[in-house]
Amino acid sequence: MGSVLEVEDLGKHYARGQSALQDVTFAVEAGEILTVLGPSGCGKTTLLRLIAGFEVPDCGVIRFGGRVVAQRGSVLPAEERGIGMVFQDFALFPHLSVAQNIGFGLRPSAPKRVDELLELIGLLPERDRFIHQISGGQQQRVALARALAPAPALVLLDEPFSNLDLSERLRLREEVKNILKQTATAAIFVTHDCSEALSLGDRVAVIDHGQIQQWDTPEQVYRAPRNRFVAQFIGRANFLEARRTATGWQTELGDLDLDYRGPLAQLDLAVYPESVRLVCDECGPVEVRDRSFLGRDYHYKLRFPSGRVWQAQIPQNETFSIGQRVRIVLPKEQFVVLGSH
Amino acid sequence: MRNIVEARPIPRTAPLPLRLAAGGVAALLGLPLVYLLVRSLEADQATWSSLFATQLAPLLITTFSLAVTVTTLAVALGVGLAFLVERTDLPGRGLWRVLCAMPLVIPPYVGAFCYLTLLGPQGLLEQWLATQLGVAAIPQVRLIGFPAAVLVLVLFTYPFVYLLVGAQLRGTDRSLIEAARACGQGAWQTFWRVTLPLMRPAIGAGGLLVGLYALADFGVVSLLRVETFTAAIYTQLTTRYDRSGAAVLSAVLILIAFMVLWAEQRLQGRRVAQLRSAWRPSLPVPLGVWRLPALGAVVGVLGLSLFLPMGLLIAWTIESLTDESAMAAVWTASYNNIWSGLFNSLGVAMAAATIAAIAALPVALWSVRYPGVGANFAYRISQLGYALPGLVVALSLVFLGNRYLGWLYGTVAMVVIACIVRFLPEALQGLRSALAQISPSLEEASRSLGHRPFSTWCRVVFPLLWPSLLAAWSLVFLSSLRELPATLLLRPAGFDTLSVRIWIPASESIYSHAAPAALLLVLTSLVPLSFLFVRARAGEGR
Repeated sequence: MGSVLEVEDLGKHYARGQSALQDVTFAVEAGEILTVLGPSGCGKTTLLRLIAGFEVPDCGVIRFGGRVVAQRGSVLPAEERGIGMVFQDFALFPHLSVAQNIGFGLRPSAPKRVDELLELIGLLPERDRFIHQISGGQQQRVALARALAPAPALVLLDEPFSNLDLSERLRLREEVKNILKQTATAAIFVTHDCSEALSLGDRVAVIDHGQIQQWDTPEQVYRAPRNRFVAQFIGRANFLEARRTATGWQTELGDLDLDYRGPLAQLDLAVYPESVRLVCDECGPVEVRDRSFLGRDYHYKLRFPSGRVWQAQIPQNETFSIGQRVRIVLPKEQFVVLGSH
Repeated sequence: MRNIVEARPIPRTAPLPLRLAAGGVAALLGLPLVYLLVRSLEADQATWSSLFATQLAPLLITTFSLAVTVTTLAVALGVGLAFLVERTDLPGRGLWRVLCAMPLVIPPYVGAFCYLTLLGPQGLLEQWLATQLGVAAIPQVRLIGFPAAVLVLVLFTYPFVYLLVGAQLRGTDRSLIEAARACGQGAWQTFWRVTLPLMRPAIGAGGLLVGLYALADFGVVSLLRVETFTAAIYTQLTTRYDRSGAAVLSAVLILIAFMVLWAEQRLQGRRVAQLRSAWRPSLPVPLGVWRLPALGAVVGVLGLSLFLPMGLLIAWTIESLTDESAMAAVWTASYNNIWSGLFNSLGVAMAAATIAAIAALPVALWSVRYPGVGANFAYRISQLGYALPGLVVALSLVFLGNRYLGWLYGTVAMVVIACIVRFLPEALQGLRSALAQISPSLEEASRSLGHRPFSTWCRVVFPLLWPSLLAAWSLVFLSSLRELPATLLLRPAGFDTLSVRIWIPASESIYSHAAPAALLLVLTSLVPLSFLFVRARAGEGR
């Protein structure tokens, strides 16, 4: 399968020298869901607006369905691109009914297609209601159906669940994924929620400061984060530096044996809080500083002699008290070597 | 293989047709004013110095003191009524809430006319004194002059303040009051330190409306014989035929109006924004022993500003139906009867409202969707009419029409144009805020679904804007319907509107000839006013 969308060296600058996006390169395959993950203000919405055709790039090229739709200073207008979009505020037309909203992009109007989509999102009984008469989750489904109605090859979703409450969000996450897969529509899904990004995406692009930090499958992004930002954002990772010695690796946790075969003499290691295991040890180097109960787990803050602080998430059947001295036990495969490939 | 870019640049500025349309509207609205100022500068030295020496000081004193007194009293009355109705346990406040806004249906010059029929020359009081006691008229007790004008203007303009402050009070969250009480403030301290400061924007906006009205008023001061600027300009024009003198006086009046606007901008600078997440209405303040006196005050004000004037209008209308000469002059005259007046009024108001609503649209679009220096300038120019007395607008059109638009001068079109220049800003305000509320993402959604800008406009923006367009139309219609001074100056011979049919017999003290037109005007005003009122309430409830 070929790429539906190719983005090459895309850049967008705003006034006062702020750079919204820089050197952004990625592609979306037909039927693939790409989630774009990053903190607010990292440039993810700008990226979507460039692809949709609401902004003009300062450099780079966007190719959609094999043809150039945007490059420096000139663009194909949004209405001629055929890319669907779901807005953060849904942007449903308040003067139109549910069915009229869904049929808005269909010319000539095709009631059959509208009913098909209403069926798909399970809102057939609501077809003649107005937007303010249906719930937030229903509005979200209508917005998706409206974007899907002209059967675009690609839909863009801009933080579509940010206006919904948690349970609704979890339910819709599954539903949206199913609908996109069922209709074989490629999608770019922007979010700042990393569990959303990991569970929805076939691939994930992590963005910070206008640049793509990593573009990979969710598993790879989790297992092999490229840098500290990705590891921190994806899994609130703890960090540790390691220096090569004759026999192994020297760290603040003692000498370690790592599965690293590369040439570097200094390594940046990441450890996810849920990988950390603790053992009681009166003379252990690490002190338990803080504890909060999360239900299944306890969440601890650990303080190293150097002042470094780690987070640990330990099942609730092993309990440690604040002020207790402990030792950290970690099998070598739990150390993630950052930027090793 | 790379395709050639099938692309065109996105326009960063407004499309040219929009800029041309909006610029054209602004130019047409600004032109008469500029020309008036030019004419006043052309006036010879002698005109300026004689006016400055003889008339200016008394005119300034009278006009200023009228505006200041009326604004102060109207603000006090409006705030007091709004507080009683919205925040206390006044008996029957649901009814009073609606009735206190009702004096708005009576144009102030109609109010002045009503009081004249009671206390003016040959009014009911004088008739009664003459027939019952055989006492001749005592000119000293007639209700004319400065205090009379203040009374009438306050009674019929306080609803501006009342409506705005009332909306502000209803919108204030109870928790703000409770927070003040929790900080140890008593009821009075809470009023002075929280409630009143929160009302300040509404008081400022309402006070500005009243103040500008008092400066611009022509009908009340001319009927009650107070020499203010507008009255002097009218005299200058119609009895002395001195156009240069009128232009000079108008220039000074324009200057005063701009000073008021400028002062208001300085005072209003800070806007109070309220966070309303979980809003709850305020609990009423118990009045205790003051409940009955407060009720008496509300009923008293309404008696003077609503019940008495309406009663008088109805009584005099019945009188006109029983009196043979009045019957003939008002109702059955084959030429220029009351129905042709109504027809003319409706025609002028409809034409002005339609053109103003359409013409305001490009200016609103430009200034909201493509803000910038040009858009802002066009917007400010189009707003000028807001601060200009109708008489001044009419005068500038007299000059312009006389010299350059001979074919238009003396036609109904001039009256319509005056109404547009004067009242288009009212339409512009509403359209601007409506456009600002239509989220740009709606337009983007339509574009992403394959609709071009024009199709997007027709299918998304226009349907959403339609109710506001209708409201803007109603507002201009209502104002044009009541317009008096411009109509008097610009109408073709024999073209009577309802306002003219009130003013002419009223100024000659033939009350039974004026009352039916006044009643008809009030009743006609009720339709657009109730539409606007219902719309405002619905908007608040959202």
